[in-house]
Amino acid sequence: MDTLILRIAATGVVSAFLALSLKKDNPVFASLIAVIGGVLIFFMIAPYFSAVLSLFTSISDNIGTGGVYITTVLRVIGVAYAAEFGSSICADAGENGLAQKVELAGKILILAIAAPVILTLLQQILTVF
Amino acid sequence: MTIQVVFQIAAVGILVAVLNQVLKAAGREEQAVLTTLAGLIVVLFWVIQHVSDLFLTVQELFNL
Repeated sequence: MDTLILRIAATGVVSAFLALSLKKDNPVFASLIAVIGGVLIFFMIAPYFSAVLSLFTSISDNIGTGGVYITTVLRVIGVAYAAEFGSSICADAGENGLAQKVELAGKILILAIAAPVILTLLQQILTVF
Repeated sequence: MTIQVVFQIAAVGILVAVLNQVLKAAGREEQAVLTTLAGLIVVLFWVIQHVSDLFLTVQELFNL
């Protein structure tokens, strides 16, 4: 289990240098290698991802009423991860405008997902006054 | 889904780069561009396949 981080670091370094070696001849292949390196690292970490997420859900189950919002939190994390993945690839390829647009879309989607939770929070605050 | 994929893509990239130089030296410019395009399309297919696997995993992990 502890050698996993070494494999992940090695994958990152190898992909970085392979991409660097191809940057001069055809830069498209360089950014494609960077993308595939990122995908590979995610697949190496995926089982621990689901372990941590099931830990969160099990904690929130015995909090009582808090469990309802854990699915919203998970979806927000998923949207944030996908948006960050897409925008960093666009930034790597040199398209900063596209990267910001993907980032903006991610923010708006997160707000859309979190809207009902914000509403219920406000209502509870108002009932106090 | 091991490091093999990264090495495959790097191999195709290096092969295309070398082919480019050879074809340019032989004076066939347009074929050099075509081989680059062909290599790019093959690699794009692989990368898109793996990226779609990634997004499916994320979707099922975070039940988006």
